[in-house]
Amino acid sequence: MTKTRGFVLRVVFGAWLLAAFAAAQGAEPRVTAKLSTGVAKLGEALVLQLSVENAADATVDALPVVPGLAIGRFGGPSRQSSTTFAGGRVVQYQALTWSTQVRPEKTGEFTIPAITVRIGGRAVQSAPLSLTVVADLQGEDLGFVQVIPSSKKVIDGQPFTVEVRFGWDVRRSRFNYAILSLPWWTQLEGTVENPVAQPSRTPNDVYVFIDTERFEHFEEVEPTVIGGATFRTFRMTKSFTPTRAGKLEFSTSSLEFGRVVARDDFFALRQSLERAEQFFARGEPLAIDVIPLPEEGRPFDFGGAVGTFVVKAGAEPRDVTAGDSIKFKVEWSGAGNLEFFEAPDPSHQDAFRGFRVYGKTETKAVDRRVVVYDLAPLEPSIQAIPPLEMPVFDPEKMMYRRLATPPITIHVRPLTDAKSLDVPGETKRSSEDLVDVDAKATPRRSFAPVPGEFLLGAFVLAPALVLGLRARVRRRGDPNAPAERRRRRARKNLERELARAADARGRMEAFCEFLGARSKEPREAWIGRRVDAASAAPIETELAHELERELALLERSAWSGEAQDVDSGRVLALADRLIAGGL
Amino acid sequence: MARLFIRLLVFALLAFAASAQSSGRASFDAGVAAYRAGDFARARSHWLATLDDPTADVDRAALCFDLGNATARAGDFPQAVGWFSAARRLAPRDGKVRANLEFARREGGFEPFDKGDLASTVQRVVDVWTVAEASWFALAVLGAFVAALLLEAFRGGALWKRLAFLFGVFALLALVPWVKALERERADGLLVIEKSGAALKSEPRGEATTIETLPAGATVRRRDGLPGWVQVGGVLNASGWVREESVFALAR
Repeated sequence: MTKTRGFVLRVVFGAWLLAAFAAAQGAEPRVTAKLSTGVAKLGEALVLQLSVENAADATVDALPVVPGLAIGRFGGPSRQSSTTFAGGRVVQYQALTWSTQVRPEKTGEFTIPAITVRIGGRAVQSAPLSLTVVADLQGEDLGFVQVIPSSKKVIDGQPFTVEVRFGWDVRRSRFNYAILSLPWWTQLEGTVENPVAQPSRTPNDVYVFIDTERFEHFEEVEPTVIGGATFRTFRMTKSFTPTRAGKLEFSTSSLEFGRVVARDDFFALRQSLERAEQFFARGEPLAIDVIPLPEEGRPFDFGGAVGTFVVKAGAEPRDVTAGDSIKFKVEWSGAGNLEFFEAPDPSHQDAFRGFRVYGKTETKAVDRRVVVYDLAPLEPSIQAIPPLEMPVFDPEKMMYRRLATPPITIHVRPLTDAKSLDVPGETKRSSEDLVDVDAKATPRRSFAPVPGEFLLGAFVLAPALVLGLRARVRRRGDPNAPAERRRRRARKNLERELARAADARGRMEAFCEFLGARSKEPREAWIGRRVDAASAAPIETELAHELERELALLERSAWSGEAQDVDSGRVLALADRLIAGGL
Repeated sequence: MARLFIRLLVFALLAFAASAQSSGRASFDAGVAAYRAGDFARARSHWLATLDDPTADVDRAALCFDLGNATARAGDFPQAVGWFSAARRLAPRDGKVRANLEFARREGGFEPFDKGDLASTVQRVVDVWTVAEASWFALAVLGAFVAALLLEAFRGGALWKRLAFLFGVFALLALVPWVKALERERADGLLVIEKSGAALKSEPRGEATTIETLPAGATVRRRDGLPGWVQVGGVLNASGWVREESVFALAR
């Protein structure tokens, strides 16, 4: 009897293992190509790496020929494989990697076309790669790019964030674009990407691209000081969850930055940008160690939850008849792989023996996981929903622990006889008849239609007139250019900065910023400037004299140390007159 | 003296207009009373008199609706379909008109007006406007389009450009209900109310060749008329003559 039972158990376990392996084998193969950097100096040796994940064997088609780039032949492949069990699933990881050297032979912008890999007769392509080759990486002292991980050592399945910080010398106020070459940004081998909260305020005076794609989910942060120089700094964030143990390699990140001029055409959906100044900077390569989950102490019901979580629970309704459904809502939150673990099943926990579990609905988010279980208490003797337990690996304490919900008191009434839904003597109803007449028929208020000729004429003429007007306006330049936007906001910014300024110097800088913005010059151009008719054109001479007097007064207050009173209202009134006067 | 005469004339005209209005209203109320008493034929004749009275201060959509009810209660469902269709033309969003139209079509053996498919759903959305509403709506969307164009011209930026394109598409789409309403409210619209379809004859004679059978519920255009016959066109690219009792004039 015992032998038979053991045999059945082995067969069941074998079938489960086969099914689990089949599921693991079903993962889609993924092909990733990357260069060691996206911006290189002429003659510098680069590494082109091609990886195929979730495939045991593959062959690479002939490498593309790119004029100006000497691409060697692929060596390898090197193989990497691992198998882990988590949450009743077999997670099998296989990767093949080929590498070769690329040497630029001339300067310019290059695209290495997609590389085709044959996997079991099926062709899978990598994404094309961009490479900028320059004679000299001029500008490394003017800009910077840094890739900063939340931790350089993570546990397999533990989400981590990577912050990209970049920027340029704060004195280069006219710089307005950045092109980041981040070979790992769209696909980081051995990870899955997690959604991250997008920054609420994106600077609108800067164009940011990742390779060739415009990117808008970045924010400006406090300036960074590097080597004594202050850099205007921007930040963008990505979050990943590692899917295998080992080293995660981040190729060198590069930054192209400088100044662009926008050209705008209404019928071209995209604005065209022309480079006016161009500089380059490169970051340091980065590697993150992914440590496998320890086998020691791993609970049998571990569902793959890794992180530092807290749990809370609620139930509705709590006063029910035996057999009635209760929505038992459990919410895990904190830092961890909240989207990826297997939620515990109450029907597999002894404490829930007195309940029937009808099912669950799940909501997954990067910061919380909510599961609503549909439970029904079977006996009136049940007085509480027991704690629901879930094993979690805590990467801070490097140990497994059990996280449990608090017990929730409920009241279960005994089941009484079910009432019949039919009411005797009730006649059948039907909606199949005419709606009754309108016995009032009061006249409706109606209004005259727009004459058809006028409507059609308006449809043709109005857009034509506006487009003609637009063409005239655009002769004066693009109203959406950063300088133009700065000019429009100058008055509002002046009012805000004057209110914020703590001393006379702050007020003077605010006023100079206003003058700079209105005249499309840097703020510094108005500090110590002698205002005469020529330099203050197009404003009138009398207004120019008034401006000179005000500037002189502000400067005296700012630099002399005397406690001269500067009236913000007067400065604002002068600003208004200057705007009205044509500044 | 002259002033007194003018005042008397104005007073007399106003009194005449008020009495004409009240006589139209009285005829309508008499129809309601007859309907409530179950005398549908008398209700119908009172309401037809109200409809023919241009001074009657009664909503014509409601009048067509009531006539549809009286006709349906008298058992003439094809004619009732005509009345409810005429009411729908005047009040396209009225739920009770739509309900009774579907009921009459079903009882009269017509295809349902709303077949529940995608085409019917789109038509229902497009057909809920009167000409006046659709024209003002199209003008309002055009205004939004022009405003977005102006903002794009003076402010620039991708947002305004995208909005301008979006409102441009909306403005063109907003013309569709207007065109449909114009077409629906044409004065020469006729509804085929012959249950088995109306025979389209080459000439206005009973023994003339039947060139087509117009399906029940189809809308055609009136081109000409002779006693007992109407020349129609607009269906299946054919034109010909149908018997007057086979069609129902929708303009009321």
